[in-house]
Amino acid sequence: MPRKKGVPYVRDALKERHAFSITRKAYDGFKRLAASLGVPMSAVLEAVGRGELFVSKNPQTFEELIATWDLEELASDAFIPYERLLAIVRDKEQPNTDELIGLAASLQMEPLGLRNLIKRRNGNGEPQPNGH
Amino acid sequence: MANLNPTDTEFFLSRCEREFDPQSGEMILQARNVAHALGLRRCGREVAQWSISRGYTRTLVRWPGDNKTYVFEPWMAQEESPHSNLRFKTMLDSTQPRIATPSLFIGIMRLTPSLTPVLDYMLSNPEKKIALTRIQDNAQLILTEAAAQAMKSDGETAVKRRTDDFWLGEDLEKLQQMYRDYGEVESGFEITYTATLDKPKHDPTAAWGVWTAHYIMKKDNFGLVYRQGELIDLKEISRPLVVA
Repeated sequence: MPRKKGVPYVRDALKERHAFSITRKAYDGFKRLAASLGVPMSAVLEAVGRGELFVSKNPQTFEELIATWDLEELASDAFIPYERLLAIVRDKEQPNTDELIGLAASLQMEPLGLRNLIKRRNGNGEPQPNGH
Repeated sequence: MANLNPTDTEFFLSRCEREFDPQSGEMILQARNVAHALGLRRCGREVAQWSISRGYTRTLVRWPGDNKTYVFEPWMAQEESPHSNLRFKTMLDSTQPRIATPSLFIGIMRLTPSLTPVLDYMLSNPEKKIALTRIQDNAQLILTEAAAQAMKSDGETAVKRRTDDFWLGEDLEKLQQMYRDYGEVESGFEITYTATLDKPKHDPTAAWGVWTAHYIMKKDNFGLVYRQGELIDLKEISRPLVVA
């Protein structure tokens, strides 16, 4: 396909400009999702639209589940200290029941489903030592 | 080791409106505010045990001003209680700046020898958030620098505080009940309450928090009773809808 001046060419097609409105919250979340995938936002949209990337209501991993969240915002929403949330997300510590209930409410999940997702991340379904 | 007092769970449960859904077998509790919902969340294992003992499939907790739901499922009854392993305490301590020179802020009071162990404890543990409050007028009279920091105040201001000006009224009532029930218990008792951090409760700009503290009653040589309070956990929250 011939390259049009000023319009980037992607694989088998030319890019076009399309406008749509989303909230700031959705935009920020989408930006974080793209960053977590290591690609530009337009590439995520392109991949979703082409059926190469699937958006699921049932995330398969904990990382997928929180990809659109700002962690400070999530900590505040779930009433968990930010440092503690970092330990759960980055150091793979197991949340206790209190934290699990709070996180599940914020992430709109069943606590058991969330617990299993987190346990699966840690491998063998076994909880990690909490480090304290 | 500070275990949650069972009456804390009972207190929060007793303050909820209850609605049983016979189709799903779920109990839906309407907490008075977010602080009560957080109180129940903290007692997750006990709430799950309560739910099982009444034959509910699970218990849901909701509160005004938010569309979130805290879900308590039967498996939680087997989980380790978060406050039984002092995780909160360790977490709280680990995030504190070290205080190089132990010092105390002291208000106007008559100090008698029987209170010197309290002073020793405070000076030996400057990173702990400890305050001594006189029961008869709720006047906070001695506190560590770390306690003042938790209240987002300077020590000179914090030492003039009166509990009544900062706590929600219903929690003050709960405290009175705890005095009656556990005032004589040597190991003291634990209480979760909602109060402002930095300014009196009627100030709309005040920061709010759900506090959990361990209290031990102390008597001076004149027979005046004080409570020695040590902060275990503090979660900042938005201002409650109703402040009384």
